[in-house]
Order: sequence, then structure tokens, then C-alpha cells
Amino acid sequence: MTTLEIKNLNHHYIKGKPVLNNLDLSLDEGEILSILGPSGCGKSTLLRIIAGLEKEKSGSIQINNSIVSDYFHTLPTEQRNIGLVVQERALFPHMSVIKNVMFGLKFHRQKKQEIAMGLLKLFKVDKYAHNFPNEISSGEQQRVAIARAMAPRPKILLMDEPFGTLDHSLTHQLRFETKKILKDNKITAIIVSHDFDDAISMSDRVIVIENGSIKQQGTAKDITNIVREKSIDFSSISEKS
Amino acid sequence: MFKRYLNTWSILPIFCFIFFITPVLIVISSLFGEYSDNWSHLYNYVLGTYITNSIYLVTGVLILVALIGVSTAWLVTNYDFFLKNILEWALILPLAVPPYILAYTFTGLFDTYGTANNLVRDLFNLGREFTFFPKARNVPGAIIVFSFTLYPYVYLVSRMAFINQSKSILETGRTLGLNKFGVFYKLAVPMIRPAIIAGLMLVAMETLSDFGAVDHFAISTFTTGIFRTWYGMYDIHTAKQLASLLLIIAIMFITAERYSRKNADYSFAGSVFRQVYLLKLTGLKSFLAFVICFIPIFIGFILPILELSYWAFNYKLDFFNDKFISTAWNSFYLAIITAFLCTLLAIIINFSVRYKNNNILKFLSSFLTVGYAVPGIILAIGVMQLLTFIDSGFIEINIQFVLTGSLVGLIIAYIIKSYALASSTIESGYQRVNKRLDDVARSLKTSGWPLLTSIHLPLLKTSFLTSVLLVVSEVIKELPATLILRPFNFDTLAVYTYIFAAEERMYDAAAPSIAIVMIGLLPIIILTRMIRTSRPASRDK
Repeated sequence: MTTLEIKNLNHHYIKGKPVLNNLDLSLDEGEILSILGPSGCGKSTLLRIIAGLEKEKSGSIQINNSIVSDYFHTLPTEQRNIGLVVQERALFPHMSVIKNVMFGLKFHRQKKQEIAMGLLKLFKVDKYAHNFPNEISSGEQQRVAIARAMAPRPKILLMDEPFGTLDHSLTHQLRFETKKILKDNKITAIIVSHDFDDAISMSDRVIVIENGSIKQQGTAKDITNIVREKSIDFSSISEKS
Repeated sequence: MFKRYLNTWSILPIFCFIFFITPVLIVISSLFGEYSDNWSHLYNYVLGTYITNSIYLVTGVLILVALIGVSTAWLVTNYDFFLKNILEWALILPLAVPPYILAYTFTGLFDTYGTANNLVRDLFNLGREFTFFPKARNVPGAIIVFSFTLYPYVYLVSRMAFINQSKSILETGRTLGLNKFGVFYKLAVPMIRPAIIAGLMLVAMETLSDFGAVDHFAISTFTTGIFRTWYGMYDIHTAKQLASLLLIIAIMFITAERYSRKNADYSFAGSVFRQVYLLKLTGLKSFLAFVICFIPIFIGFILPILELSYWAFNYKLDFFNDKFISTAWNSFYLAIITAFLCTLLAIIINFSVRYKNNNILKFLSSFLTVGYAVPGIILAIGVMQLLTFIDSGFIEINIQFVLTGSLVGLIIAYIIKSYALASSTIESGYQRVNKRLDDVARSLKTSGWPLLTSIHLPLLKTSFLTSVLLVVSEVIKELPATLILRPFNFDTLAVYTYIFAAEERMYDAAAPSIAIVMIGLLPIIILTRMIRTSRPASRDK
């Protein structure tokens, strides 16, 4: 079943300089898609448009076969049932870790606590449940941010450079754990990154965006082969970013 | 498109815009009406005096304020000298003293039989006709009063600009042959000129719109002229025409201030930034630097406090009487109500701008802050006329003067006047709240009012408190609008002080004056804490 369907998506900030150019994209249930590309290629804009944080200039977006945005109407972010994880983590600093995870849940208090604690255990941060975000490390903060986004069981989890500020060994560990949790829970996810390793190790499929259009797409294995065959230096993409 | 610009979150900003602009339009509209004989009298005999006095006053104040504000800011930012760490924050203390209170203490000190002249006569055993200090009740006296109470506006912006100035540029100046003073006046000062001009424009507006100090010194300016025309000639229409002229001058200053603020960062573009390290001064140089910074604090804060305390305690007046307590209570609850309303408005309007992110809301929010520049006396006239107009609608049902002469008018005028303080505080609080929190909250199905109450309000607690304190201190000090709009027999601390000072009962004016200064000190203390934490250069040292 198709979870996300994007058709003819166009967007620009300055007329004549398109950020997204006639972009088509679909995503199946439980699939993890990575979007790769240099800084300014439009990958984060695409994520913000899917989330409803920005309105596209033209095109349509469907989530679970219902239109969430087209020329005639736009469903606000809060009604799209998506989860969002950002590079800065954006944990609510005045709330404890568990309250952050409970924030998006609409049940009675005990049920909310149960769900939140379950997720914190899954991400191995349950011992910090009553700490405040500034009292835990950046890796732990990122785990909490992902747990919070997953708590309301969104139809799609959108992750914008989720491991961008973490050190190498921590990134490696978190990639592995996050992928396992996403797969075990059959969560559809889009990961935006400029890091080739992030994209290859986390996802089922990878698309490469350049100048607002999809330049390459395929499975993680396909893309790795293309990179090897054409000797593309992905470190240059990272450097540009 | 229509829905994007007109929605629930636009209602309050639009309503405030209408309410803020109407009193001003009422005043300005008088320019297009008839001109009475009183106007001809003013035009032929006194308008010239109002204009020349105002020009002398503003020019003198601007020169003195620029000298004090910029030189002290330069010293505390670049040099380490005797008691520098204390002087650095103490230099803003005179902000707690309104010009009219310093004017009252100046007359008490420097009149022929004032405290200072009596002291000199007693010390040197001189005759009663001898006067050492000249009288302060004249334009030069007023220039000193305004300069020593208003220089912190320029000190604060200059200090901040000097802190952010690139050390590399100043050092390049030295290698190109400039001495230390040359670096100061040929490089450092020109580089922060827009910031200085913005501060000076605020000072000019405050000077022009003041009523209490010039009235006490019997100097004819626009504000005293407006009062005399209204209460002396009973001609509100001509008073409005005079107020319109003052408003036009105020608008010129607002435009200059906004324009300068826009350009305030130009000097830092393209320069490699490096922190300024403090140069240690010793011996005579250290003492001179101390004296230059201490004099403004002494004249603007210590001297009035000493004089007021001397009056309040030495004359053993029973100053904590029922009248004082009821007046203080009036001031307090009026200030608290205004501060809460003003801060709530500022929070909701700034939230609307952030949440809806459209240009119309941004313009409205920015326009509402202009109220601070409109002289209190003009606001009072406009608000009174507006309320009288609304009240006239009730006459049909035999209810008269529901709003006119009530506290409503006073609170409206205070809100218009203080909104900029609340809004700038909340706005800077919002700059520290990451916009990604909003994105994440919206993805977790929290938007609109719940976003404001569950995420923003808890994160804006400090800004909320700071804003409330700033508005409280501003309202407690406000005089001209209060004099015009207060209900019959309703006194505030400022009015109480004014009435006693007008009757030359300076000792009776001491207690309410001290109360005003003490309340004004609360936000200053917060400001000094911020100043202490805003000096990365000294921390890195």
C-alpha cells in the first residue's frame, strides 16, 4: 500500500529560481527512504512541505490515499499525522524527558505514561525519564526526540539530518538501533541527509536530489554501485553542506 | 490568500492598530479645522518662544548626553580602572529618576536658600545674601537635568556597540598612525554612529515630551504651552493644533531613530571580529576615568537620593500617612493592571506574528511600538476625545460619561505609551525560543492557543516578568497623561509629587519621589544583571 504520493511538486522562494522542480515521489508502507543531496538542493524544503510547514507553489501530496495538499486545500501540519525529528532535536526544555514523549499523546495520564515509558525503554533512555533535556547527552537527547516523534504512531516519520550533530561512533550506533526500531514497528520514514553513510545504512531506497529534481534513485545497493562505477565523491557533497 | 491575511490571529493586532492610531488621528485632524483667535495669539506672541526654547533645550541636551553617554561607554568597555566593575552597571541607575524629580531636587539644592548654598554659607561663615551656586530654574538648568537623567539611553546603546566592535579594525588604526584618542574619535565613534543617533533620537523625544521638569522650571515649551492653552484658555481645539505641531516633530525623530537603527550594524560588515581586551589604567589616569564615570552617577542618582532622603527624614514629616498609602496603592494597582494587560497583548501579538508569519501582521506589530514616541500629553488629549465620542453614543440611553474621566482612559493611554517596552522584551524573549520547537509541536498535533500556553508561555516566563516590571516603572513615573486623564480626586505618586512641587512643598514631595525612584529601580536591577552577563570580553580574559 502506498503511504505517500507526491505529484508534480514545484516550489520556489525567488521567482525563476526553482527549489523543487516537477518532483514525483511515492513511498510504500513500512519503507524507509533516504533523500541525499548537497546543501540548498531542496531536500529539507521537500520535508517541510510534506510536513505542511511550508506550502508548495503547485503539485499535490497524498498521505494514505487522501489528499493533504493541492491547489484547492491544505491540511495543517497538526492534522497530517506525521512525526518530525530535526537536527537540533528541539526537545521542550521546560519539560522532563517523559513529559516530552507524552506531549503528543491524547490518552488518559496513566496510558500516556505507559506508552512513553515503553518507548524510552526501547531507546534505552528510560533511566532519564524524569531528567530535563539539558541534563542528558546529545545522543540521549536524539533518542528522546525520535521516541517523542514515534509516540503518537504517525503515518510517516520525517527525519531532517537526525544525526548531523553527533560524533561518528555515536552516529553509527544510533543508525543501527533506530533502523531496527523503525523496521520492527513497521514505521514508514523519510530521512533527509547529506551524509552518504547515513543514507545507505538506514534506508531501503535512496534518492539523490540536485537542483530540485531527482537525479538518481534506487535501493541502497544500487546507489552504492552507481557511486563505485562513476567514482562519485560523496564527501564533496558533505563538504558543500 | 484572503484567509492567510485575515484570520483569528489577525483580529487583536487589527483592533489594537485601530485603537492606537485613532487618538493620534483625532489630534492631527485638528490641523485641518478652523484656527481661532487664540491660535493667532499663540502664533504671534508665544509660538516663537516655544520653538526657540525647545531647540535650545534639545540641542543642549543632545550635545551633553552624547558627551557623557559615549565617553563613559568607551571607558568602561575598553579600560580597567578604579571601581570600573561597579561603575559599569551603576551608570544606568539615573534611568530610575524621572527628569521632573531631578528638577525638584535641583531647585531644592540650588535656589538661593537651597541646601547647597546654605551648606557653602555655613561652611565659610558667609552672609545670607551670598549665593555660590547659580539658580537652576532656566534653560541651562533644564539641559543639565535632562542630560543627567537621560544619558543612559545613549550609554546603553554605545556600550553594546563598542562591545561588538572589531578589535582588529581599531588595531589597524593604530598601525596607520592614530593615537588612542584618534582611534576613539576617528574610528570607534564613527563606526557606531547609527547606534548613537538612535539613542540620541530617543533622548530628543523624551526631552520634547516632558512636562514636569519644564513646568517646574517655568520654561515655555510645547508641552507647557499645550497645558496652558487647554487649562488657561479653555481652548482644547487650539491645544490640539499645538499638540499636532509637537507630534510632527516627534514623527521626524521617530523616522530618524528607525532609520539609524536599521543601519546600526553596517560598521561590522566584512570585518574580522575579535574581542576587545581591557587595558589596565593606573595612577592618575585610573582616577580620572573613575571621576568621569562617577560624576553622571552622582548628579543623576546619588545627589537626588541624598537630597530626597534628607528632606524625608531630617524634617521628620509623617510621610507614611493615609494619603501617601492610598496614593501609592492607586499607582501600584494601576501600574500592575496596565503591565499585565500590556504584556499579555505583547505576547499574543508577537505570537500571532510568529505563528502566522505574514507581512501585514509584521507591519501592524511594528507600528504598534511607535506609541512610545507619542508625547503623553498628545495621547491624553486624543484618548479623552475618543472616549468622549464613544460616551456620546450612550447619551441616548441616559447614561453619560461612562468612559470619560474613568480609569479606562488612563489605562488605554498607558498601554499605548508602554506597549513598545513590553513588545521589545517579549520579542527578544521569542528570539531565544527555537522555531523548530513550534514545528515539532505542530507535528505532535499542538497548534494555536495550546502551542502558546503549553510551549511558549513557560519559556517566556523571564521575559514576561521583565516586561511587567519595565511597564510598572514606566507607568509609575508617567505624569502629563495622568494629570489630564485621571478621574476626579484620584492621585498617583507622580501626581502627588507634582502637586507638592508646584506648591514648593519640596519636603512633602520627598516621600512619593523616593517611592517612584525605588519602584523604578526594580527593572534597572534586572537590566544590570543582563549587563553583567553581556561582556564576553572580560570573561574570556
